[in-house]
Amino acid sequence: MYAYNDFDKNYVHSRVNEFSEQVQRRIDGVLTEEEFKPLRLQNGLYLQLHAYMIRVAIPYGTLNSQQMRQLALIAEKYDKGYGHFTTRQNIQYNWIKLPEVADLLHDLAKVNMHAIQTSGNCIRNITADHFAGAAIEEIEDPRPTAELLRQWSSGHPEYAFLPRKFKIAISGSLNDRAVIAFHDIGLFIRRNDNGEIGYKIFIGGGLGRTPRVGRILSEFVPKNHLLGFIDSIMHIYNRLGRRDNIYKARIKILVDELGIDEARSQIYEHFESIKNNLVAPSMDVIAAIANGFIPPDFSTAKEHDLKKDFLLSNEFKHWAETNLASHRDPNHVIVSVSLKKPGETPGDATADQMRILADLSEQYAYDELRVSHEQNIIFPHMPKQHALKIYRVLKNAGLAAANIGMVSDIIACPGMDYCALATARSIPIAQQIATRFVELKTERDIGPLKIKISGCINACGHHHVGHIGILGLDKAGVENYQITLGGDGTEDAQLGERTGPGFSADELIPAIEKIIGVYLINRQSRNETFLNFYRRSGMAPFKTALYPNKKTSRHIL
Amino acid sequence: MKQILTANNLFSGEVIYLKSKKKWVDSLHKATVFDNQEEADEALTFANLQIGELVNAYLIDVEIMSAGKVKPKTYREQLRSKGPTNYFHGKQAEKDKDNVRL
Repeated sequence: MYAYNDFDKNYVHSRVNEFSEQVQRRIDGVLTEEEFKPLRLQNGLYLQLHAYMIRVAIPYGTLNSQQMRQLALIAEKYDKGYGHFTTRQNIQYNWIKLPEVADLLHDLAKVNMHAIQTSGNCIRNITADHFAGAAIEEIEDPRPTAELLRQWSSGHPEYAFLPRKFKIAISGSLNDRAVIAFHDIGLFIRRNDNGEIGYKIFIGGGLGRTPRVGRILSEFVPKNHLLGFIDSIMHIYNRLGRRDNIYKARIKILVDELGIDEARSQIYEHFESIKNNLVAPSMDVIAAIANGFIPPDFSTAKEHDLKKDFLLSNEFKHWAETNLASHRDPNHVIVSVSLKKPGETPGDATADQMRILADLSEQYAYDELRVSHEQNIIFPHMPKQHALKIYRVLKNAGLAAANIGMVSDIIACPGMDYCALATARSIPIAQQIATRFVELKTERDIGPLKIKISGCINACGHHHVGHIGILGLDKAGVENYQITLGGDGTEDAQLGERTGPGFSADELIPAIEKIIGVYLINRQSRNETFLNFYRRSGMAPFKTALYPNKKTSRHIL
Repeated sequence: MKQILTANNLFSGEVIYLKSKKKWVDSLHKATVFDNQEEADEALTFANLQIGELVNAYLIDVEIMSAGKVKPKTYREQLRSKGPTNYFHGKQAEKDKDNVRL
């Protein structure tokens, strides 16, 4: 795994020292809140409803066991014994006290971690496919590119005060597991007709109040031009992005206003002007990064037939059906550990659970863990011979929910239970849906179905790309939920369509049951997934089920 | 319109309510309820001067229930007064503190 060099370490330590002093100056009353707020945000520190929250960066969602153990320690030492993994592959702690922030950051820095650029109008943590380096259909591991971009964007002086936040995601696979088309910049590693590796670049994608599927900037940019292209995109956005209106400040609006052709023309023009003078990383830097991502020696794993284990444990088989994915090496599997035990808070893990995950990765899985944007933990390289063993350990730790990609594997933002921006709660809705479908025992019959819940229009819960998306709003001080159907965050990127008027918290779960009922009754066979059924049937049968008395007046938000 | 004044403690981030100019409390039931806008605004002006001790002061609309219990009109403020609903954390898990140390 990539390890920080002295430059990185010094940078992190000096930022911790700088921010510690800023915190102290706020405590001493030298800084006002107005002066302090942009500083704390640049260091990932928010003031939420009940306490401070700190968001810790997990670059491209990759962790080793030592780092995971330190996250566990921080959960116990500074929080209430747990942490919340987010849809941007980060971790958040919800009960932080301002005078303890400096110590927390020092503890993080001990394992080369930090909270820099996890908030504020800068280039945020760069996310990547959580199956990177393990997926069968992968062209190239996207993380060396993500690491290069991390190094380039960390503390970049020109891009520290962008019009608005900026999110970049990268995938090296043909299948998109990283919601690429819904980022400010989305990168796919692709091979051209000559067999050369480069990037397909999307710009201006995003969720939030103005959701947009990314527009294609280029089908293929050669590797050595990537930084120049990214720099050109950032340059045009920094110069022309709307600073007059926070709701129009993201690059997606700039691309809307210019049109993709004009945006492309300006970006290419800028690129042409700098291309002979590019600040390119040296071969040493490229080599040092590449060295950090050399795959483990897979040849040490023994041949092992999982079918033998299935005969030993039907429960294991049931879990394996949803939580194991094929690995590029035939003697390994990719394990998704669900943090969605029905009834629990999606994405939360206790300190003890984090330690167990760390131990398992260290003992059996080459000391590597990933955080997925779907708020689960991944062992990217698990020798098949250990799968049953680790399943049993996970089960004892309450980490063996067999539901990846199923109705109870719900993405949910923290919502109004914690978030100062939220307009409704997300977590209890996720808990109720998961619990209900477990009670009904229909989860496996329903098959693949992604439900995503956001507690406000900012869409941290990715509701626009949920097969069923739920958006919590405030209607005169009371929670109200809108439903969208047909969203898709994969390579077939699609925004969900609203069913119609919203539902109260009490009406919502029955409404979700009706939606799933329409699917179960009308699907052609079990092979027709919910999403495929929706694409065939359209909205009509769902509307009929949800709003039988169409003429009844309902308040449309 | 009945209102109370709320803020977050600068150090702990905890939700607090104004009882008197010298006293912030952690329970909204002990907060001063303002019946008139002028007094409420005056309290807000006072709070905004306490920048070294608190953050984000604002007025919230409340109803007075039986036994003098105070209920915020919005669900958001009801949550702030108790803590999250997914865990028994926050105010609901703590004994009322009479006087919040700033």
